[in-house]
Amino acid sequence: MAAETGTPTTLTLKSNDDELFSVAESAAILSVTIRNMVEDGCAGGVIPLDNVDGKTLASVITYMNGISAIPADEEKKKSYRDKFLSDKDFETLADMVLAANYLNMSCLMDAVSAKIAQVMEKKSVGWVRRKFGIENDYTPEEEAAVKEEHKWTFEGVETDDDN
Amino acid sequence: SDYRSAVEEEEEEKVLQRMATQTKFPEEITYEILYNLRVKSLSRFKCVSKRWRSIISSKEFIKRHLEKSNTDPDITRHRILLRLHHRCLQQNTVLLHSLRPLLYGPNATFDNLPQQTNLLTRVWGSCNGLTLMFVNNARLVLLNLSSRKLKIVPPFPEEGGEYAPRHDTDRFIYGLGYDESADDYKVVCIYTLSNSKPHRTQMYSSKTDSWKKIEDFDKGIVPVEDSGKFVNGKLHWLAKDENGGRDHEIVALDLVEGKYEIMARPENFSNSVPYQPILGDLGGYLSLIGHVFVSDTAGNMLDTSVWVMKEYGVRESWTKIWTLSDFHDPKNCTRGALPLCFRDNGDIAVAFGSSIVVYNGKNKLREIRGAIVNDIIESLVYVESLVSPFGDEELGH
Repeated sequence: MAAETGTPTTLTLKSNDDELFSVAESAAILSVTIRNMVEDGCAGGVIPLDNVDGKTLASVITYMNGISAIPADEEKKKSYRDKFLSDKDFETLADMVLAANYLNMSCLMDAVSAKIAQVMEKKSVGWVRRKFGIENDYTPEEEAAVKEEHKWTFEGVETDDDN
Repeated sequence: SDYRSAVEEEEEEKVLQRMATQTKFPEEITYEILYNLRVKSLSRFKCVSKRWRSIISSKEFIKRHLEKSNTDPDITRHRILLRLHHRCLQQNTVLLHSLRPLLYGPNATFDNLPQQTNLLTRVWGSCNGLTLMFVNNARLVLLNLSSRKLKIVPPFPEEGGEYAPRHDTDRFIYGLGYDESADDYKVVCIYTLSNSKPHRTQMYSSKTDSWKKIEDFDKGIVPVEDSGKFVNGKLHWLAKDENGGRDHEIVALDLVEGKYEIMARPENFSNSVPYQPILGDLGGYLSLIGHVFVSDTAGNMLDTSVWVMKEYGVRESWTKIWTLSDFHDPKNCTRGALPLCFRDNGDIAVAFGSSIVVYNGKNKLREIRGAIVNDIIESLVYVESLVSPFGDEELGH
């Protein structure tokens, strides 16, 4: 459609806290979820994205615009992704990975998953439980045993108050 | 008691619900994140919860994590093992290092293996993160260098008794490979008793923890003393005519069928009798190092070349990717030039005497990396994985 008329189509996305964002269709269809809506003709008005808040959606759109401006050069795309994610904290990355999953954007999903893993690499077991919201279901005896078995993996772990 | 179990079920349900709502990510996202972690972290995070332990220990997870290690274009999970001879101390030591910084990073630094593995006396091969090696001159072991799990390979039965895996390499040579159809890591031993022909073969299954006699190694040629190279589902050895007449041949062993065949090799890749050609696995490609004598005004010189079979099984695809022409006296180097790694863009890293040299695709020296003071005796490239030498028994340990 856009190609026929020569004018770039713009889509309006709505976050779950009712913020509205304009984004070029060519960039937005990096999301398979949005592409499917466009192809099904549901993109005429406002596209509601019920699982993404405004702050995260703004960030995702920055990424969509940034990455689609780069021609097919995997090296350059990779370094853009690295730079884009470099200053994000865990909470932001967590919101981004959930959004990428919901929007079905595999390139962002892969990059954010890898970045979260990189952040986790030297973290303690306690840190992971807290950040991931995981309950420790080991009994004290079981926990002592499993820690003893993997004792060598605790070398070089960042100190943390509930290690 | 019915009432009590109903109450318990309800309690359990509540706990599950609470966990589900508190957990930050749906499980499929947790998986995506965990695939990216190094083995050391994953081993530690088995302590997070019973669920995480069971995810990280599962066959499916280990397989996908390995796939990521094997196919990562940035080779971030490829590592190198170097066995070095310390000339002053007259001692051998082992160094482990990630491969990528060695090729592309700033200055390489080397980290030592934990102390006990300095007992390592011979490396026989690596496959999916498992390494086959001799420790202490006496024990043949399967070791996962990343998860530090170790399994001793038992002796095999033979006429007149049991044969403990032996270290006299002129009569016992080994290889390690993976039989995908049976999901089984297999050790192969080619051996000769009192130098009698033919060379017999035993194959060990890590799944059943037992040896089985298979077809003899008998194509009118004898295997060269070196480890089997695992490429494309088969183990490969270099073999020579007993009378030294013909060129060396490559013999491939199918690990599923347990059958040998001759594999296509380049013509005239080697003509210098005292210097044995070397068969290698260069990042999934079968490779050969050949030595050819050439004469010029200065006298005889030795050309050392590395050949790579770019398309498996296709003779015409053997390509000479690297040549060193001023190689006057290879005896100065413990084992001459050892190619460590070859990449699709043509980059090749070669261990040479006491240094590691990186060349680009045009055979131009890129950089000399790694200030190793000692001679390199053996080298091995392996990937990080959670693959257990115990196969399915993993959870019992």
